[in-house]
Amino acid sequence: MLTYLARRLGYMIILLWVISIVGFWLINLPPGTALDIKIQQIEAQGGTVSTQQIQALEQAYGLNLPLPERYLQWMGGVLHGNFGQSIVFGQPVASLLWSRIAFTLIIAITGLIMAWLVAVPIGVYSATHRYTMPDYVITALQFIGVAVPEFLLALILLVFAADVLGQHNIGGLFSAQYQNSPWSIGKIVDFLGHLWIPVVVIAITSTAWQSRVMRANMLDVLNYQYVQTARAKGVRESLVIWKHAVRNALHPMVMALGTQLPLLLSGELVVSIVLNLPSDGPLYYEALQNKDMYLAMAFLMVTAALLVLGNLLADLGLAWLDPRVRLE
Amino acid sequence: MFEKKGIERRDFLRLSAVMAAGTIVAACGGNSGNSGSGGSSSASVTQRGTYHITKTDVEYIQDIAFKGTLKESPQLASMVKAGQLPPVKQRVPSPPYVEPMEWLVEGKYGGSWTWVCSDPTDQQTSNNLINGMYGHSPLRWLHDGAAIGPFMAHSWTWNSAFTQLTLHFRQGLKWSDGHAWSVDDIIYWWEDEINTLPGWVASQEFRSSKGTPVTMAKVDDYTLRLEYDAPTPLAVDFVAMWAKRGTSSINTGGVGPQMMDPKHYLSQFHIKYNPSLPSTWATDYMQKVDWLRNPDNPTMAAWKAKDYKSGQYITVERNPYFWAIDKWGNQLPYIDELTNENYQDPNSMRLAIQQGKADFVTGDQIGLTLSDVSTLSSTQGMDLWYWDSGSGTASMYFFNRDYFDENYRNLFRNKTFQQAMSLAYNRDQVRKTIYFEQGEITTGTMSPKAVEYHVGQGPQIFEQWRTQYSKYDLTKAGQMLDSIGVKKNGQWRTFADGSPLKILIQYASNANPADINKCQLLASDWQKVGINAVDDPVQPTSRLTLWGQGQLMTYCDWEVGDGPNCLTYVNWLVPEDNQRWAPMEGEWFLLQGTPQEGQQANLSPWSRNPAWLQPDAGGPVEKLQALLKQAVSNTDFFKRNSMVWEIMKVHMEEGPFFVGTVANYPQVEMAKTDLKNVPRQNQTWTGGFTNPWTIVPNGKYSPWTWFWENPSQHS
Repeated sequence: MLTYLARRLGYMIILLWVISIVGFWLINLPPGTALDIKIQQIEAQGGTVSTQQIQALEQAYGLNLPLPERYLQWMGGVLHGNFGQSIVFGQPVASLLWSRIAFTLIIAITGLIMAWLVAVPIGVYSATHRYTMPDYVITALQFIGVAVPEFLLALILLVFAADVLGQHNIGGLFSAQYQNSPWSIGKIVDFLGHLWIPVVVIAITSTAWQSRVMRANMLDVLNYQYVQTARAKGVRESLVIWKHAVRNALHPMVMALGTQLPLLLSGELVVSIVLNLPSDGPLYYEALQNKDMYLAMAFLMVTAALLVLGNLLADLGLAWLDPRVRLE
Repeated sequence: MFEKKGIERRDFLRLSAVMAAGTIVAACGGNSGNSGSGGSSSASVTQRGTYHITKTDVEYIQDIAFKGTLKESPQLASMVKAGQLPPVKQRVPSPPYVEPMEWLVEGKYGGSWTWVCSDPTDQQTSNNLINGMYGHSPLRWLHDGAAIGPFMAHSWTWNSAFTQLTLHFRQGLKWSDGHAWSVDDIIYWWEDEINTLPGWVASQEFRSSKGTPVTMAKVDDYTLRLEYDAPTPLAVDFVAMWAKRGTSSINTGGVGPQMMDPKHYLSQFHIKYNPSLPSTWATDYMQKVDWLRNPDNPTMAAWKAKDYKSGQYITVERNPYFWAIDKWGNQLPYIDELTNENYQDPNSMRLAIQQGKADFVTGDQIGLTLSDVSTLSSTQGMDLWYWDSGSGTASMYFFNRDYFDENYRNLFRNKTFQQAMSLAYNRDQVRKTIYFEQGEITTGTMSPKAVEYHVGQGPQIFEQWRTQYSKYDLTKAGQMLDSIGVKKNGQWRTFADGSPLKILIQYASNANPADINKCQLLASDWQKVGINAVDDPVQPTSRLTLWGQGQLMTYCDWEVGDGPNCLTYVNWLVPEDNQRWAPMEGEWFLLQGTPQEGQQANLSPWSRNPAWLQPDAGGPVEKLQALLKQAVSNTDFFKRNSMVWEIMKVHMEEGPFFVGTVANYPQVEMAKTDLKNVPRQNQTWTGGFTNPWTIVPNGKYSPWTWFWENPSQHS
């Protein structure tokens, strides 16, 4: 087991190094830099930036260096825990990332847990009641959930919260009066009052997908001989379903969970933009759009690391779930 | 087919769609709608108000004396009583600055207010506040840019040669942490930050008319002498320009150059004063210097930093040492706290405004346009009105005079071609579709509010330039193109040698919808005269580089929003940078007198780095640059004006070099009905003048004098 883990970790480091080279090259491939965007904004607002200033800034950000040298300089910083400076935001990349990480994880993990808590029972119910009226209703709702774009759902819920529930401080995660204040019962209530909309939006789309997958897996598993054997032996139906069938039907979901880990950081982009949530997704989007290379590279590396780590965790989780799986 | 003169289906739908919205826009204008003049009418907006230009110069407003009793907010009074703060008399300077605005009434202390913006890069969050607070400038623009008055400095004097400008600051000025302010804080910025911090170099505002950086001499703690190596009569304008303290790593940050920083606080993070700092000290310093995100860094503005959350908001609170009062003796600001909320998505911001989350909305700063009026005008508890943009032209286009391809370059330098293309542009449709019949049709000029247009020959020159090539005339345009050999060869016109001609209408792929819409109309118009014109969105990150190297053909999503003095922001009139209509000739001008002058002369101009191109002898660019050099050092206001008029005549005779659509369109402004002292259009001197950031949006109307009718309802 330890040998397996060491080998996987070794592969991970090599893979991340390759990703860093390819990512750095791709991000720098188009002409121009984030400085150009910044200068254009300034010019459009009536300011001027002299050639002298531009040269000084290019030097400060290392933009005047050849690409390999620029990469080595950046990588040297990363190995010392310094992800560099965001050109667009003018702040250290690490502080930008960490300033939003807590809310990002709260939103994403809450949405994920909600989705799993709802999707698994619904998928199981739908599979065990195949072609009944409840199954048709669930299937219809699942298709609607998959089809409705997240941004539209977010906007509908915003209007619903404002007009029907009379919740006037929508958008963001806090009402104005709690933004600067220390944590209190009132602030927590206010936070939950804002949190439900993004969580519901994320959970609805995710639940629809997951419950479809769960239903299909269950239908497969229910036809396996060991399930029929269990029934023939007189095992209680609920035990057959929840102990024997569901456990195996969860395999693909657990594997998929590994690939979802990076989405914790950047997956809720559209919802975050529409609902004005201070999460990392919009930051990543802006970094890519503005070619803010150090910020974009930091995101790329963190999401890549989460992806490979997620796959490792999924493999470990599967081994724990299914004793037949051996990691060597 | 492309010459069909009847209205097309798409045009019909566009026009129908804007009619309803246009009605609402006009209705919201109320009785202040001077900006609704027709395309062929005279420039009514430019005639409104009284410009304070005397026979000799722009008027300089005198400091107002105050002899009454000083008053302060109850919040501060209780702190004084508790011994936590010195009495108000010791906190404000002598003399204090007395707000001169005519519309002010005595206000009430208290409450908080919220502004909104939408900027994922977080720059606008601070820029709105910097411009709104305007608290670090020695002098200030008044009367919508028609006058200059005292601010942190109570007066200023010139020597007879206009080479020494002495600023006399108010004694007893204090930073928001209570530490005494002195001219050392300006000299610290000039000597220890400029040329030391990345990107911080002496901007043109602090150079002589010859381009040499100014020398700053301390006379005493409150007197500073700016010494120039040549007559620099525009220095007073430059000292009044901009908010004077940005937060960006580029020193200007879109809000102009800095002019001071608190030495007593920042010097501890500077390698010169603290040699034990690591080699990365400058990176750390850039975090400390950001006075809106670092509450420890004191300010001279009306409010000081309190809280900041990346991408969400900045909150500022009352500065107890603010140096301005109103004529009733009340120390300002009236309102305790101000938050600028940032929305990632502009539509979420609009929804927030509709829900009443914003107390003051400044459309020009946050991207609201006339198309938003129909939605926002019904917002409960809010007034909606307009301020003039003062724009010389809204969204426009210009060709790259220094384009790398010789065939195209010669065409773009051909004035008949430029004029024909301008005549082939149906501006009336742009005005109807995008600007809801507001503003005035224009060939493209400098701001109608520029001082040079309001004296002597100015009004005639303005009117001639504005109307010269603005009339839509397809027949004449076609004849003019024929006359230079650009004739039809099948469906499209070709170069005189028969080679294909294709004009790319280039704009940033992330341009705003109004610009994109305008570009599509432009392509459609030019197709009607037989020019094969196509949309070509370009990658924003590469545009600056490619444009400066003559690799892009057109620039179609910019506007001339500068003023109020053509010479303080002259880039549109005279190529002196690498961003506008003659980028490489502008670069050549920039390099004059620097070590890079003439370097790489053996290479093709399009292979040089930076790419420069010497203007043709006797050509328009050479004439313009020569006139500029003469004008900026001339100490006589009217002679300077004459030279500006000469510059404009070159544009009229050899241009148009930048081609406009609609000038001085109105900008949308909103405020809660019980927010007082916010001037409406008919209270301002010229109907407002929002677009130039040089005269400081919002800040020029002193938001620190605004107050709540019922502060307790806004706490």
